[in-house]
Amino acid sequence: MSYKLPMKLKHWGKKAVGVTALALSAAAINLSVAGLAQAHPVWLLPHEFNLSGDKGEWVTVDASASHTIFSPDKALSLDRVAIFTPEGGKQRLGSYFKGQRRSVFDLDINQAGTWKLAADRAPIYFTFYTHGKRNAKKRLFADKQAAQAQLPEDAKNVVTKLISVSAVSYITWQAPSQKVLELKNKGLELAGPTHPSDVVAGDEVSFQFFIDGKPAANVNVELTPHGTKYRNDRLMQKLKTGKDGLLVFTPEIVGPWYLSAQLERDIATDKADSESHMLYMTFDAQLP
Amino acid sequence: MFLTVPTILLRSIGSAAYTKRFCLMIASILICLPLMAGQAIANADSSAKKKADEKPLDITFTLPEIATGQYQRPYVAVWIENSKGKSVKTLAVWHGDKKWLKDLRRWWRKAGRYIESSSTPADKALSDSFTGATRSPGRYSLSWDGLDDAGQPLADGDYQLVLEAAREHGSRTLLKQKFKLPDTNTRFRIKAGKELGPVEIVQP
Repeated sequence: MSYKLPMKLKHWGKKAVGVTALALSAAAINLSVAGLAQAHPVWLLPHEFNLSGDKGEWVTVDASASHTIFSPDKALSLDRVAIFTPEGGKQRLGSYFKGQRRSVFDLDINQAGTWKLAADRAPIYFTFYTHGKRNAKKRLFADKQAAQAQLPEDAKNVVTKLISVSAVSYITWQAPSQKVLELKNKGLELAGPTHPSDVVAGDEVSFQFFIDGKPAANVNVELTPHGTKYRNDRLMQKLKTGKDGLLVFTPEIVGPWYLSAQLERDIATDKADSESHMLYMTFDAQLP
Repeated sequence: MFLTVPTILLRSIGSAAYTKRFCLMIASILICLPLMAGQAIANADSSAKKKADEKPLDITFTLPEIATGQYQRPYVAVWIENSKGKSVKTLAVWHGDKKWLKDLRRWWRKAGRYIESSSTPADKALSDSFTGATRSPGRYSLSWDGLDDAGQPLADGDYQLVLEAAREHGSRTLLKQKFKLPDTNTRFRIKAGKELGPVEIVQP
Protein backbone atom coordinates (compact mmCIF):
# COMPACT_ATOMS: atom_id res chain seq x y z
CA MET A 1 0.00 0.00 0.00
CA SER A 2 1.20 3.50 -0.64
CA TYR A 3 -0.27 6.72 0.55
CA LYS A 4 0.11 10.27 -0.60
CA LEU A 5 1.43 12.46 2.15
CA PRO A 6 -1.09 15.11 3.02
CA MET A 7 0.09 18.53 1.93
CA LYS A 8 -1.68 20.54 4.57
CA LEU A 9 -0.38 19.57 7.91
CA LYS A 10 -0.82 22.69 9.98
CA HIS A 11 -2.93 20.83 12.50
CA TRP A 12 -0.22 18.33 13.12
CA GLY A 13 2.44 20.56 14.57
CA LYS A 14 5.70 21.44 12.93
CA LYS A 15 7.61 18.21 13.35
CA ALA A 16 4.79 15.79 12.96
CA VAL A 17 5.08 15.48 9.23
CA GLY A 18 6.60 12.03 9.65
CA VAL A 19 5.07 8.66 9.47
CA THR A 20 2.55 9.17 12.24
CA ALA A 21 0.87 11.51 9.86
CA LEU A 22 1.20 8.90 7.18
CA ALA A 23 -0.31 6.24 9.37
CA LEU A 24 -3.08 8.55 10.36
CA SER A 25 -3.89 9.65 6.89
CA ALA A 26 -4.01 6.00 5.98
CA ALA A 27 -6.55 5.63 8.73
CA ALA A 28 -8.49 8.51 7.32
CA ILE A 29 -8.52 7.16 3.80
CA ASN A 30 -9.84 3.90 5.07
CA LEU A 31 -12.46 5.73 7.04
CA SER A 32 -14.03 6.82 3.84
CA VAL A 33 -14.07 3.41 2.26
CA ALA A 34 -13.97 0.61 4.73
CA GLY A 35 -14.44 2.09 8.16
CA LEU A 36 -11.85 2.22 10.86
CA ALA A 37 -11.11 -1.47 10.97
CA GLN A 38 -8.32 -1.04 8.45
CA ALA A 39 -6.61 1.91 10.09
CA HIS A 40 -2.91 1.43 10.66
CA PRO A 41 -2.55 0.16 14.22
CA VAL A 42 -0.33 2.55 16.16
CA TRP A 43 1.50 1.07 19.11
CA LEU A 44 3.94 1.62 21.92
CA LEU A 45 5.74 -1.47 23.11
CA PRO A 46 7.66 -1.25 26.39
CA HIS A 47 10.10 -4.13 26.76
CA GLU A 48 9.41 -4.32 30.51
CA PHE A 49 5.99 -3.90 32.03
CA ASN A 50 6.83 -4.69 35.65
CA LEU A 51 9.94 -3.75 37.58
CA SER A 52 11.16 -4.87 41.00
CA GLY A 53 14.57 -3.28 41.63
CA ASP A 54 15.27 -1.21 44.72
CA LYS A 55 16.64 1.51 42.45
CA GLY A 56 15.02 3.09 39.43
CA GLU A 57 15.56 1.42 36.07
CA TRP A 58 15.59 2.30 32.41
CA VAL A 59 13.03 0.76 30.13
CA THR A 60 13.31 0.73 26.35
CA VAL A 61 10.15 1.32 24.32
CA ASP A 62 9.40 0.78 20.62
CA ALA A 63 6.96 3.05 18.81
CA SER A 64 5.63 2.06 15.43
CA ALA A 65 2.51 1.46 13.37
CA SER A 66 1.89 -1.88 11.73
CA HIS A 67 -0.68 -4.53 11.00
CA THR A 68 1.72 -7.28 12.05
CA ILE A 69 1.68 -7.19 15.85
CA PHE A 70 4.34 -6.18 17.06
CA SER A 71 6.61 -6.05 14.02
CA PRO A 72 7.64 -2.46 13.29
CA ASP A 73 6.54 -1.01 9.97
CA LYS A 74 6.08 2.78 10.09
CA ALA A 75 8.13 4.68 12.67
CA LEU A 76 6.11 7.03 14.88
CA SER A 77 7.08 10.61 15.47
CA LEU A 78 8.09 10.92 19.10
CA ASP A 79 7.18 14.60 19.35
CA ARG A 80 3.78 13.85 20.75
CA VAL A 81 4.76 11.09 23.13
CA ALA A 82 3.94 12.05 26.70
CA ILE A 83 5.04 10.19 29.81
CA PHE A 84 2.94 10.52 32.96
CA THR A 85 4.51 9.65 36.31
CA PRO A 86 2.73 7.87 39.18
CA GLU A 87 2.67 11.09 41.17
CA GLY A 88 0.93 13.00 38.42
CA GLY A 89 3.87 14.76 36.79
CA LYS A 90 5.52 14.33 33.42
CA GLN A 91 8.83 12.77 32.51
CA ARG A 92 11.18 13.56 29.65
CA LEU A 93 12.27 10.82 27.29
CA GLY A 94 15.82 9.55 27.59
CA SER A 95 17.78 8.65 24.49
CA TYR A 96 15.60 8.33 21.43
CA PHE A 97 15.86 7.45 17.81
CA LYS A 98 13.60 7.55 14.82
CA GLY A 99 14.34 5.07 12.09
CA GLN A 100 12.45 4.24 8.94
CA ARG A 101 10.25 1.62 10.48
CA ARG A 102 10.59 2.03 14.20
CA SER A 103 11.16 4.72 16.75
CA VAL A 104 12.77 3.85 20.05
CA PHE A 105 13.08 5.72 23.29
CA ASP A 106 14.52 5.04 26.71
CA LEU A 107 12.58 5.92 29.79
CA ASP A 108 13.98 6.47 33.27
CA ILE A 109 11.50 4.86 35.65
CA ASN A 110 12.44 6.61 38.86
CA GLN A 111 9.18 6.68 40.82
CA ALA A 112 7.45 3.63 42.26
CA GLY A 113 3.94 3.01 40.99
CA THR A 114 2.26 2.91 37.60
CA TRP A 115 3.42 5.05 34.68
CA LYS A 116 1.42 5.91 31.60
CA LEU A 117 2.98 6.23 28.17
CA ALA A 118 0.84 7.99 25.59
CA ALA A 119 1.32 8.84 21.94
CA ASP A 120 -1.61 11.19 21.45
CA ARG A 121 -2.69 13.07 18.42
CA ALA A 122 -4.57 16.33 18.79
CA PRO A 123 -8.05 15.86 17.33
CA ILE A 124 -8.01 16.58 13.60
CA TYR A 125 -10.79 17.28 11.10
CA PHE A 126 -11.13 15.45 7.82
CA THR A 127 -13.70 16.44 5.23
CA PHE A 128 -14.56 13.73 2.72
CA TYR A 129 -16.41 14.31 -0.51
CA THR A 130 -16.86 13.01 -4.01
CA HIS A 131 -16.83 15.03 -7.19
CA GLY A 132 -16.46 15.01 -10.94
CA LYS A 133 -18.07 12.74 -13.50
CA ARG A 134 -16.58 9.67 -11.88
CA ASN A 135 -17.53 10.63 -8.35
CA ALA A 136 -13.87 10.42 -7.29
CA LYS A 137 -13.39 10.12 -3.54
CA LYS A 138 -11.45 13.05 -2.11
CA ARG A 139 -10.58 14.44 1.26
CA LEU A 140 -9.51 17.69 2.81
CA PHE A 141 -7.71 18.30 6.06
CA ALA A 142 -10.20 20.90 7.09
CA ASP A 143 -13.16 21.26 9.39
CA LYS A 144 -16.65 21.86 8.08
CA GLN A 145 -16.30 25.64 7.95
CA ALA A 146 -12.79 25.76 6.56
CA ALA A 147 -13.77 23.19 3.95
CA GLN A 148 -16.44 25.47 2.50
CA ALA A 149 -13.82 27.67 0.90
CA GLN A 150 -11.85 24.73 -0.46
CA LEU A 151 -14.51 22.37 -1.76
CA PRO A 152 -15.07 22.30 -5.52
CA GLU A 153 -18.46 23.54 -6.60
CA ASP A 154 -19.70 20.12 -7.60
CA ALA A 155 -18.65 18.41 -4.37
CA LYS A 156 -21.13 15.79 -3.23
CA ASN A 157 -21.49 13.53 -0.19
CA VAL A 158 -19.60 15.98 1.97
CA VAL A 159 -18.95 14.60 5.45
CA THR A 160 -16.62 16.05 8.06
CA LYS A 161 -15.20 13.82 10.75
CA LEU A 162 -13.28 14.73 13.86
CA ILE A 163 -10.69 12.07 14.56
CA SER A 164 -8.82 11.51 17.82
CA VAL A 165 -6.09 8.93 18.23
CA SER A 166 -4.29 7.83 21.35
CA ALA A 167 -1.87 4.95 21.82
CA VAL A 168 -1.08 4.09 25.41
CA SER A 169 0.77 1.60 27.55
CA TYR A 170 1.56 1.24 31.23
CA ILE A 171 4.67 0.33 33.20
CA THR A 172 4.66 -0.46 36.91
CA TRP A 173 7.61 -0.32 39.28
CA GLN A 174 6.78 -2.14 42.54
CA ALA A 175 3.10 -1.92 43.53
CA PRO A 176 0.57 -0.71 40.94
CA SER A 177 -1.05 2.69 41.52
CA GLN A 178 -4.16 4.43 40.21
CA LYS A 179 -3.23 8.05 39.54
CA VAL A 180 -2.47 7.67 35.82
CA LEU A 181 -5.75 5.78 35.35
CA GLU A 182 -7.88 8.62 36.69
CA LEU A 183 -10.36 9.76 34.07
CA LYS A 184 -9.90 13.13 32.41
CA ASN A 185 -13.53 12.97 31.25
CA LYS A 186 -12.48 13.80 27.74
CA GLY A 187 -12.62 11.56 24.68
CA LEU A 188 -12.36 7.77 24.80
CA GLU A 189 -10.65 6.51 27.93
CA LEU A 190 -10.05 3.20 29.62
CA ALA A 191 -9.92 2.48 33.33
CA GLY A 192 -10.13 -0.58 35.64
CA PRO A 193 -11.54 -2.59 37.22
CA THR A 194 -8.61 -4.77 36.11
CA HIS A 195 -5.42 -2.76 36.45
CA PRO A 196 -3.30 -3.01 33.28
CA SER A 197 -0.47 -4.39 35.43
CA ASP A 198 -2.71 -7.16 36.78
CA VAL A 199 -3.50 -8.95 33.54
CA VAL A 200 -2.64 -12.64 33.82
CA ALA A 201 -2.97 -15.24 31.08
CA GLY A 202 -5.97 -17.46 31.78
CA ASP A 203 -7.61 -14.99 34.19
CA GLU A 204 -10.68 -12.97 33.28
CA VAL A 205 -9.98 -9.30 32.58
CA SER A 206 -12.48 -6.42 32.78
CA PHE A 207 -11.66 -3.06 31.26
CA GLN A 208 -14.17 -0.27 31.37
CA PHE A 209 -14.37 2.30 28.59
CA PHE A 210 -15.60 5.86 28.97
CA ILE A 211 -16.53 8.55 26.51
CA ASP A 212 -16.26 12.05 27.95
CA GLY A 213 -16.34 10.51 31.41
CA LYS A 214 -19.46 8.39 30.89
CA PRO A 215 -19.47 4.60 30.38
CA ALA A 216 -19.12 3.94 26.65
CA ALA A 217 -21.34 1.18 25.27
CA ASN A 218 -20.79 -0.52 21.91
CA VAL A 219 -17.15 0.40 21.58
CA ASN A 220 -15.66 -1.81 18.87
CA VAL A 221 -12.65 -3.57 20.28
CA GLU A 222 -10.09 -5.80 18.62
CA LEU A 223 -7.69 -7.85 20.73
CA THR A 224 -4.61 -9.40 19.19
CA PRO A 225 -1.84 -11.31 20.95
CA HIS A 226 1.76 -10.63 19.91
CA GLY A 227 3.58 -12.60 17.25
CA THR A 228 1.13 -12.58 14.35
CA LYS A 229 4.15 -12.96 12.08
CA TYR A 230 4.80 -16.42 13.45
CA ARG A 231 1.41 -18.07 13.07
CA ASN A 232 -1.26 -18.64 10.47
CA ASP A 233 -4.24 -17.57 12.52
CA ARG A 234 -4.15 -13.93 13.59
CA LEU A 235 -6.12 -14.97 16.72
CA MET A 236 -7.78 -11.57 16.77
CA GLN A 237 -10.94 -11.30 18.82
CA LYS A 238 -13.59 -8.75 17.89
CA LEU A 239 -15.61 -7.64 20.86
CA LYS A 240 -17.95 -4.86 21.92
CA THR A 241 -18.32 -3.17 25.25
CA GLY A 242 -21.55 -3.71 27.17
CA LYS A 243 -23.93 -0.94 28.12
CA ASP A 244 -21.86 -0.27 31.24
CA GLY A 245 -18.81 0.21 29.01
CA LEU A 246 -17.30 -3.05 30.22
CA LEU A 247 -15.13 -5.24 28.06
CA VAL A 248 -14.70 -8.72 29.52
CA PHE A 249 -12.28 -11.25 28.08
CA THR A 250 -9.72 -13.87 29.05
CA PRO A 251 -6.31 -13.65 27.39
CA GLU A 252 -5.01 -17.18 26.98
CA ILE A 253 -1.63 -16.30 25.49
CA VAL A 254 1.21 -15.00 27.66
CA GLY A 255 2.98 -11.86 26.50
CA PRO A 256 2.10 -8.45 25.07
CA TRP A 257 -1.37 -7.92 23.57
CA TYR A 258 -2.63 -5.18 21.32
CA LEU A 259 -5.99 -3.64 22.10
CA SER A 260 -7.63 -1.43 19.51
CA ALA A 261 -10.81 0.38 20.52
CA GLN A 262 -12.89 2.57 18.25
CA LEU A 263 -16.01 4.56 18.86
CA GLU A 264 -17.78 6.58 16.20
CA ARG A 265 -20.72 8.82 16.90
CA ASP A 266 -22.61 11.65 15.29
CA ILE A 267 -22.04 15.09 16.65
CA ALA A 268 -23.93 18.12 15.60
CA THR A 269 -21.42 20.93 15.72
CA ASP A 270 -20.66 23.55 13.14
CA LYS A 271 -17.24 21.99 12.62
CA ALA A 272 -17.98 18.29 12.10
CA ASP A 273 -20.77 15.78 11.44
CA SER A 274 -19.30 12.91 13.37
CA GLU A 275 -16.36 12.05 15.53
CA SER A 276 -14.18 8.98 15.74
CA HIS A 277 -12.14 8.05 18.76
CA MET A 278 -9.40 5.51 18.46
CA LEU A 279 -7.72 4.23 21.57
CA TYR A 280 -4.88 1.75 21.29
CA MET A 281 -3.33 -0.01 24.22
CA THR A 282 -0.48 -2.45 24.63
CA PHE A 283 -0.71 -4.58 27.75
CA ASP A 284 1.14 -7.59 29.05
CA ALA A 285 -0.59 -10.87 29.89
CA GLN A 286 1.69 -12.26 32.56
CA LEU A 287 2.64 -15.84 33.30
CA PRO A 288 0.16 -17.37 35.77
CA MET B 1 5.27 -42.02 67.95
CA PHE B 2 2.42 -39.82 66.75
CA LEU B 3 3.87 -39.66 63.29
CA THR B 4 4.40 -43.38 62.90
CA VAL B 5 0.80 -44.34 62.26
CA PRO B 6 -0.10 -41.93 59.48
CA THR B 7 3.21 -42.47 57.77
CA ILE B 8 2.69 -46.17 57.58
CA LEU B 9 -0.94 -45.73 56.65
CA LEU B 10 -0.18 -43.48 53.72
CA ARG B 11 2.70 -45.48 52.45
CA SER B 12 0.77 -48.72 52.65
CA ILE B 13 -2.06 -47.33 50.56
CA GLY B 14 0.25 -46.69 47.67
CA SER B 15 2.04 -49.99 48.07
CA ALA B 16 1.56 -53.32 46.34
CA ALA B 17 2.22 -55.21 49.52
CA TYR B 18 -1.07 -53.96 50.82
CA THR B 19 -2.22 -56.81 53.05
CA LYS B 20 1.04 -57.27 54.86
CA ARG B 21 1.38 -53.57 55.58
CA PHE B 22 -2.23 -53.37 56.63
CA CYS B 23 -1.61 -55.92 59.38
CA LEU B 24 1.41 -53.95 60.46
CA MET B 25 -0.69 -50.80 60.50
CA ILE B 26 -3.41 -52.33 62.66
CA ALA B 27 -0.74 -53.52 65.04
CA SER B 28 0.72 -50.02 65.23
CA ILE B 29 -2.63 -48.46 65.90
CA LEU B 30 -3.32 -50.96 68.65
CA ILE B 31 -0.01 -50.13 70.24
CA CYS B 32 -0.42 -46.41 69.81
CA LEU B 33 -4.02 -45.99 70.87
CA PRO B 34 -3.54 -46.13 74.64
CA LEU B 35 -0.57 -43.81 74.32
CA MET B 36 -2.52 -41.31 72.24
CA ALA B 37 -5.42 -41.32 74.66
CA GLY B 38 -3.05 -40.80 77.54
CA GLN B 39 -1.34 -37.89 75.85
CA ALA B 40 -4.61 -36.27 74.92
CA ILE B 41 -5.64 -36.20 78.55
CA ALA B 42 -2.25 -34.96 79.63
CA ASN B 43 -2.32 -32.16 77.04
CA ALA B 44 -5.86 -31.02 77.71
CA ASP B 45 -4.75 -28.27 80.09
CA SER B 46 -2.04 -26.93 77.84
CA SER B 47 -4.11 -26.95 74.61
CA ALA B 48 -3.78 -23.18 74.22
CA LYS B 49 -0.04 -23.37 74.51
CA LYS B 50 0.04 -26.31 72.14
CA LYS B 51 -1.82 -24.29 69.49
CA ALA B 52 0.90 -21.67 69.50
CA ASP B 53 3.58 -24.31 69.04
CA GLU B 54 1.73 -26.06 66.25
CA LYS B 55 3.42 -26.52 62.90
CA PRO B 56 0.58 -26.91 60.39
CA LEU B 57 3.04 -27.51 57.55
CA ASP B 58 6.48 -28.98 57.26
CA ILE B 59 7.89 -28.52 53.77
CA THR B 60 10.97 -30.16 52.37
CA PHE B 61 12.15 -29.50 48.84
CA THR B 62 15.11 -29.96 46.57
CA LEU B 63 16.99 -27.45 44.48
CA PRO B 64 18.40 -29.75 41.82
CA GLU B 65 21.97 -29.88 40.61
CA ILE B 66 21.97 -28.55 37.09
CA ALA B 67 24.99 -29.22 34.89
CA THR B 68 25.51 -26.10 32.83
CA GLY B 69 28.35 -23.74 32.15
CA GLN B 70 26.26 -20.74 33.15
CA TYR B 71 24.88 -21.85 36.48
CA GLN B 72 23.58 -19.16 38.80
CA ARG B 73 21.71 -20.16 41.94
CA PRO B 74 17.95 -19.85 41.51
CA TYR B 75 15.68 -17.26 43.06
CA VAL B 76 13.12 -19.12 45.16
CA ALA B 77 9.83 -18.13 46.79
CA VAL B 78 7.56 -20.24 49.00
CA TRP B 79 4.21 -18.87 50.12
CA ILE B 80 0.60 -19.66 50.97
CA GLU B 81 -2.48 -18.45 49.10
CA ASN B 82 -6.07 -18.54 50.30
CA SER B 83 -8.92 -20.03 48.27
CA LYS B 84 -9.23 -16.80 46.29
CA GLY B 85 -5.61 -16.90 45.24
CA LYS B 86 -4.56 -14.06 47.53
CA SER B 87 -1.17 -14.45 49.18
CA VAL B 88 -1.60 -14.67 52.95
CA LYS B 89 1.83 -15.75 54.11
CA THR B 90 5.27 -15.68 52.54
CA LEU B 91 7.49 -18.33 54.09
CA ALA B 92 10.74 -17.74 52.24
CA VAL B 93 12.24 -15.72 49.40
CA TRP B 94 15.84 -16.37 48.46
CA HIS B 95 17.21 -13.81 46.06
CA GLY B 96 20.12 -11.66 44.92
CA ASP B 97 19.74 -8.32 43.14
CA LYS B 98 16.14 -7.22 43.54
CA LYS B 99 16.11 -6.13 39.90
CA TRP B 100 15.32 -9.76 39.10
CA LEU B 101 12.80 -10.40 41.89
CA LYS B 102 10.08 -9.86 39.30
CA ASP B 103 11.23 -13.07 37.63
CA LEU B 104 9.48 -14.84 40.50
CA ARG B 105 6.46 -13.71 38.51
CA ARG B 106 3.66 -15.07 40.59
CA TRP B 107 5.14 -14.26 43.99
CA TRP B 108 6.12 -10.78 42.84
CA ARG B 109 2.63 -10.10 41.55
CA LYS B 110 0.75 -11.59 44.50
CA ALA B 111 2.92 -10.48 47.39
CA GLY B 112 6.38 -9.08 46.65
CA ARG B 113 5.44 -5.83 44.98
CA TYR B 114 3.19 -4.82 47.88
CA ILE B 115 5.61 -5.76 50.64
CA GLU B 116 8.68 -4.32 48.88
CA SER B 117 7.02 -1.02 48.08
CA SER B 118 5.78 -0.52 51.62
CA SER B 119 7.91 1.58 53.93
CA THR B 120 6.14 0.68 57.17
CA PRO B 121 8.40 -0.82 59.86
CA ALA B 122 6.04 -3.83 60.02
CA ASP B 123 6.51 -4.58 56.32
CA LYS B 124 10.25 -4.01 56.52
CA ALA B 125 10.38 -6.49 59.40
CA LEU B 126 8.14 -8.85 57.45
CA SER B 127 10.42 -8.66 54.43
CA ASP B 128 13.46 -9.30 56.64
CA SER B 129 11.73 -12.28 58.21
CA PHE B 130 11.46 -14.29 55.02
CA THR B 131 14.20 -13.06 52.70
CA GLY B 132 17.62 -14.60 52.44
CA ALA B 133 20.47 -15.12 50.03
CA THR B 134 20.18 -17.63 47.20
CA ARG B 135 21.08 -21.24 48.10
CA SER B 136 23.14 -23.91 46.40
CA PRO B 137 21.58 -27.10 45.11
CA GLY B 138 20.46 -29.33 47.99
CA ARG B 139 17.55 -30.37 50.18
CA TYR B 140 15.88 -27.69 52.30
CA SER B 141 13.20 -27.66 54.98
CA LEU B 142 10.72 -24.98 56.03
CA SER B 143 8.09 -25.01 58.74
CA TRP B 144 4.96 -22.92 58.86
CA ASP B 145 3.34 -22.04 62.17
CA GLY B 146 -0.15 -21.43 60.75
CA LEU B 147 0.05 -17.66 61.14
CA ASP B 148 -0.40 -15.16 58.31
CA ASP B 149 1.91 -12.30 57.36
CA ALA B 150 0.41 -10.18 60.15
CA GLY B 151 1.01 -12.89 62.76
CA GLN B 152 -2.66 -13.85 63.04
CA PRO B 153 -3.92 -17.44 62.89
CA LEU B 154 -5.63 -18.24 59.60
CA ALA B 155 -9.29 -19.17 59.47
CA ASP B 156 -10.20 -22.78 58.72
CA GLY B 157 -10.64 -23.45 55.03
CA ASP B 158 -8.91 -24.26 51.76
CA TYR B 159 -5.41 -23.02 51.05
CA GLN B 160 -2.64 -23.60 48.58
CA LEU B 161 1.08 -23.86 49.11
CA VAL B 162 3.03 -22.38 46.19
CA LEU B 163 6.71 -22.77 45.37
CA GLU B 164 8.38 -20.85 42.56
CA ALA B 165 11.97 -20.93 41.34
CA ALA B 166 13.56 -18.94 38.52
CA ARG B 167 17.16 -19.06 37.43
CA GLU B 168 19.21 -16.70 35.32
CA HIS B 169 19.96 -18.32 31.95
CA GLY B 170 17.68 -21.12 33.15
CA SER B 171 14.01 -21.92 33.50
CA ARG B 172 11.18 -21.17 35.87
CA THR B 173 9.27 -23.77 37.85
CA LEU B 174 5.97 -23.18 39.63
CA LEU B 175 4.61 -25.89 41.94
CA LYS B 176 1.32 -25.84 43.84
CA GLN B 177 -0.37 -28.02 46.43
CA LYS B 178 -3.84 -27.49 47.86
CA PHE B 179 -4.46 -28.29 51.52
CA LYS B 180 -7.08 -27.75 54.22
CA LEU B 181 -6.91 -26.11 57.58
CA PRO B 182 -7.22 -27.73 60.00
CA ASP B 183 -5.95 -31.12 58.95
CA THR B 184 -3.61 -33.65 60.44
CA ASN B 185 -1.84 -36.80 59.42
CA THR B 186 -1.66 -35.66 55.85
CA ARG B 187 1.24 -35.92 53.51
CA PHE B 188 1.69 -34.62 49.98
CA ARG B 189 4.38 -35.05 47.40
CA ILE B 190 4.88 -32.85 44.34
CA LYS B 191 6.90 -34.12 41.43
CA ALA B 192 10.03 -32.20 40.52
CA GLY B 193 10.04 -29.48 37.89
CA LYS B 194 13.17 -28.33 36.08
CA GLU B 195 14.30 -25.88 38.72
CA LEU B 196 12.60 -27.13 41.86
CA GLY B 197 11.45 -30.29 43.56
CA PRO B 198 10.48 -32.88 44.46
CA VAL B 199 8.59 -31.41 47.41
CA GLU B 200 7.35 -33.24 50.50
CA ILE B 201 4.64 -31.57 52.54
CA VAL B 202 3.47 -32.88 55.89
CA GLN B 203 0.58 -31.71 58.02
CA PRO B 204 1.58 -33.48 61.26
